[in-house]
Amino acid sequence: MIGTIAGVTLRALLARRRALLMLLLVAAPVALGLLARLRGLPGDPIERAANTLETTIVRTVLPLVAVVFGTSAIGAELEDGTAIYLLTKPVARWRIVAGKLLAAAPITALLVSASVLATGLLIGGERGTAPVTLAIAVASAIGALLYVSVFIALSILTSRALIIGFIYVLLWEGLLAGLFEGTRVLSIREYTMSIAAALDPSGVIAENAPLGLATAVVASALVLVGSFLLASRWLSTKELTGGD
Amino acid sequence: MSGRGAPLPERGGGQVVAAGSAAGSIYDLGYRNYVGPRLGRRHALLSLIRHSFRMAYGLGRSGRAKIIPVGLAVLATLPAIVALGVTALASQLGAEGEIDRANPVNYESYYSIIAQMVALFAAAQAPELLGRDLRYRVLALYFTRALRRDDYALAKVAAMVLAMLVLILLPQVLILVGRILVSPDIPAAIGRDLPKLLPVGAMALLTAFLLGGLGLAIASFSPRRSFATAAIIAAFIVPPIVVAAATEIAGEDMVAPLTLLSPPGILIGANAFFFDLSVVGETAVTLPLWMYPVAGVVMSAVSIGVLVWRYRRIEP
Amino acid sequence: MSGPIPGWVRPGGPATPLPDQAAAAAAEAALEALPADAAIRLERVSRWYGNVVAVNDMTFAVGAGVTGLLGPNGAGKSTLLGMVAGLLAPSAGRVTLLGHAAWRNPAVYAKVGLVPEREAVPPYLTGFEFARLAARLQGMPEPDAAARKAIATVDLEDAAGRSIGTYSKGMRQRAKLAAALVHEPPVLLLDEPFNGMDPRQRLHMMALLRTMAAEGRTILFSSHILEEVERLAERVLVVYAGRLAASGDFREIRRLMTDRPHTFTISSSDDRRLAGALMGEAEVFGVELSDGWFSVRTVDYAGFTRLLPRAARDAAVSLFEVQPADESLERVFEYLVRR
Repeated sequence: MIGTIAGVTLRALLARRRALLMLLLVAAPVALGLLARLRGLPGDPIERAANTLETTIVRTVLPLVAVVFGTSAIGAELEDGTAIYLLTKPVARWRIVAGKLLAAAPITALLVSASVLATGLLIGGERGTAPVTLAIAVASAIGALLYVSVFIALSILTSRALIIGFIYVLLWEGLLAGLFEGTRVLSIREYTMSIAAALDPSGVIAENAPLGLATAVVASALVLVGSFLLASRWLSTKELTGGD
Repeated sequence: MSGRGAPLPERGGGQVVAAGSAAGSIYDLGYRNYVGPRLGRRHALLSLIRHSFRMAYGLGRSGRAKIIPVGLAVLATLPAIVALGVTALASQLGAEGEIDRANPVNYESYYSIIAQMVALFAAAQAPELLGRDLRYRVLALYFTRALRRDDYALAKVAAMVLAMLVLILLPQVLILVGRILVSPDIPAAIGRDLPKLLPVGAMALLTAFLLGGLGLAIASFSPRRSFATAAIIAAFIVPPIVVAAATEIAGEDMVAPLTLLSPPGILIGANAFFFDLSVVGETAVTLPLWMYPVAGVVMSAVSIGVLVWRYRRIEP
Repeated sequence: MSGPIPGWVRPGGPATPLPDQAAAAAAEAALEALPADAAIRLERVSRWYGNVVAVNDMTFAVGAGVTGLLGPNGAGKSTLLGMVAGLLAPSAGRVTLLGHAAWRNPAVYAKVGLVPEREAVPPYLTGFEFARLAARLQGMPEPDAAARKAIATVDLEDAAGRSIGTYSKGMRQRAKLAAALVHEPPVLLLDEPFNGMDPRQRLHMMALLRTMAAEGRTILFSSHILEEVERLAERVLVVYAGRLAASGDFREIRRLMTDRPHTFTISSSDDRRLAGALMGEAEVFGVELSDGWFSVRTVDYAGFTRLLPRAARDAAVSLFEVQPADESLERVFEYLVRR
C-alpha cells in the first residue's frame, strides 16, 4: 500500500517542468565545479571543498529542492483537488504520509547527494577531499529526509507551505540562527552540518558546526518522528470539500 | 406592449417582440442599458492599481491572507524599531554619540539587513497579484473594457512597486523620525538627515522596480502559485550563491561581471553607489559603482518589458 | 451527541433562533422514526462556517435504492454529501455510515464509492490506470481485473488506454465512476453526476445506477435539475437554504407541491367583471385588482385551469394574458420550507 502511494507520488513529482528545474538546480554547483577544475584551483583543497559544498549545496540547493519536492508531494494534490481520490480509501493516514515521504525524500536525497559527490569530486579530486565530500553527501541525505518530512507536514496544515518553508530556510536558518546561538538547536541545517562534522575525519567542517553529534542526532530524530506524527494527525482531521 | 392600458406586471420569459420578422425575433426582456457617464480608461487604470495594491497586502480579505505580507512588513520594520529603542535608551544615558557610530542599523545598511525579506515579499505576493486572474481566466473581462492589455500589465507593476515601497520605506522613515526626535538639536538633526532622503528614495525605487518587476515577470508565466513563488525565490537566491562559489573557486576578476546579472548583487552595488560607500558586503566589488544602478535599471526595464510582452500575447 | 468540531471552524452557531417547543418535539420524533439499520443516517446534523449555516438541523435516513438529493445551488447539497462521505465533520449532530461515524473513519471507505463533483482528476494517468490505482488502494487482490471490469461497466473501454487529460467532460465523469465502482461498494455517493453529460451518456448512467440499486445497493446522488431526479430517484430529499424541505416518494411530493396556493395574473377585456365572476367559485379564495390586470389565488391548480375559460365565456370576457405567478423552483422550495 505504502509502495503504491509512493509510486504514484513519484510519478507526479517527476512531472516535466518541475523535474527539469530541479535538475538544473542541482547541476549548477556541478557546473561550477567543472569551471573551477578547468581554471585551476588555488588554496587548500579540503577547506575549499568543504566551504564550497556547504555554501552552495547544503545552504541553498538542499533546502530549495526539499521545499519543492516536499510541498508538492501532497500539497499539489490538496491544492488541485485530486487528493480526494487518495483520502477516500481505506488506508490509514500514517501510511499515506509514509508513502509520500518514501517518494519525496529519496529523490531529494539522491539529487542533492549526487550533486555533492560530483561537485566535491571536481573541485577536490585526488587531493584527499573524498572523506569530506562523502561526509557532506551522507549528511545531506539525512538533511533531505528531515526537510522533506517537515515540509510534508507543513503542506498538510496550510496551502501556503511553500512560502513559509522559504521563510523558514532564509530567515530562520539563514539570519536568525546566525544571530542567536540558542536558536541553532532548531535549525535543520545545523543538524546536517553537525552530522557531517562527526563523519568527517579532517575536522574542517567542525569549525562551522557548533552542535555536538549527540544533540544533532537526538534533535533530528525528534524532528523526524514529530513531523511524521503531526502530518498523520493533521491529515486525519483534514476537511475536504467535494464540490467547488 | 400595445393598446391594453398599463403594462403587465414583471414576469420572466416575456413574449414582447423588440425586433425581427416572422421567421425569428429578438425578445425585449425589459433589460435596461446603463446610459450614465462612464469614467473611462484613466479611472479604470487607477482602480486596478488601487485594487492590486490592496491585494498585495491582503486588505479586504480574511486574516489569513494578510499574515504573510503584513508579517514580512513587520519583520522588516523590527530592526529599525529595535535600533530606535536602543538609541533612545543611549541618549537617556548620555552615550548617543558612541551608539550612533556603532549602530549597525542606519540608512545605508538597511538594505542588506532586510534584503531577503523584501525578496520573500516579492516572491509571495507577485503570484498573488497575477495568479488569480490567470487561474480563473477572467482576463477577458479586463481586456474587453476600457483597459488595454498594456494598461493591465503596467497597473500591476505600479501596484507592486507601491506595495514594496511601503515595505522598504517604512523602516527608513522610522529611522529618520527616530533620529530626529532623539537628538538634542532638532533643526540640526533635520538638516543632517534630510539630504539622506535622496539616496534612500533612489535605493527604494530601484529595489522596488527591480524585485517587483522581476517577480511579476516570472509570476506571469504560471498560474500556479507555488511554482511561481519557487521560481522567484530561485532567481533571487541562486545567483549570489553562484557568484560566491565562483569567487571562491575562480577568483574575483572573472566573477565581477557576473554580479551585474545577480539581482541581490546589483542591489548591494547600487546601495554602495547611492550612499557613497567604499566597503561593500561580502562580495568585494571591483567594477565602477555606477554600473550597478544602471544594470538595475536595465534589468527592471527588461522584466517589465517581458511582462508587457507576455500579457500582449496571452490567451485570456 | 454532537460530533467533534474540526480545527478551523469556530464554534459559532446558527444565527437563527433555537427551535421552539413544537419544533423540538417534531425533531425528536423524526429522530425516533429513523430506521436503525439504514445505510446512511443523519441525526440532527448541522454544519456552520462562522456565521453562515450551510446545513441546519437535518434528520433523515437513506436506505437501499436510489435516493436523490434535490435543491437549488447553494442549498447545502455538497456540504451534506461531504459530511456523509466523511470529508467534513458535522458541527452538531451525528452522521452515521453503515453503522459507524463517517468522519475520521478511513476503514468505511472499503464499502463506499464516491464520485465527487470537481473535475480534477490526475491527468497523467490513463483511465485504466486510474481505476487500477483505486483498486490497489482498496486492497483488492486482483486490481487489474477489477479495473477492467469497472471500465467495461461504464463503457469506457475504447478510451481506457488514453490519459485522462485528453478526455471530454463526460468521459471524465465515467472514469470517476469506474474508480468508485472498482471495489463494488454497497454504498455509492455521487455529487452532481450528470454534469456535462450528453443525453445518451446520461441515459446510460441512469440505467447503470438503476441496475445497481436493484442489486440492493444504497445510492445517493445530488442534483439541482428536477427532471433528472424525477427520472432516476425512487425517493427524494429536497433541501433548501440548508434545511430539509421535503422527503419521501417523489410523486407524493410532486402532488404536495402542486396542491399549494397558486397565484395567477390575468389580463382581460373586463377585469372587474371577470374577477367578480371568479370570486363566486369554490376554487378561488382571493382576487386582487390592479391597473390593467388582476391576480387570482387558488388552491386547486387543475380545477382552476378548467374553471377559468368557462367563467370567461359565461361572463362574455376575452382573456388576453394568463400567467401563473410563482412557478419557479425557488418559490416552491420557499413554500415548502415555510409550512
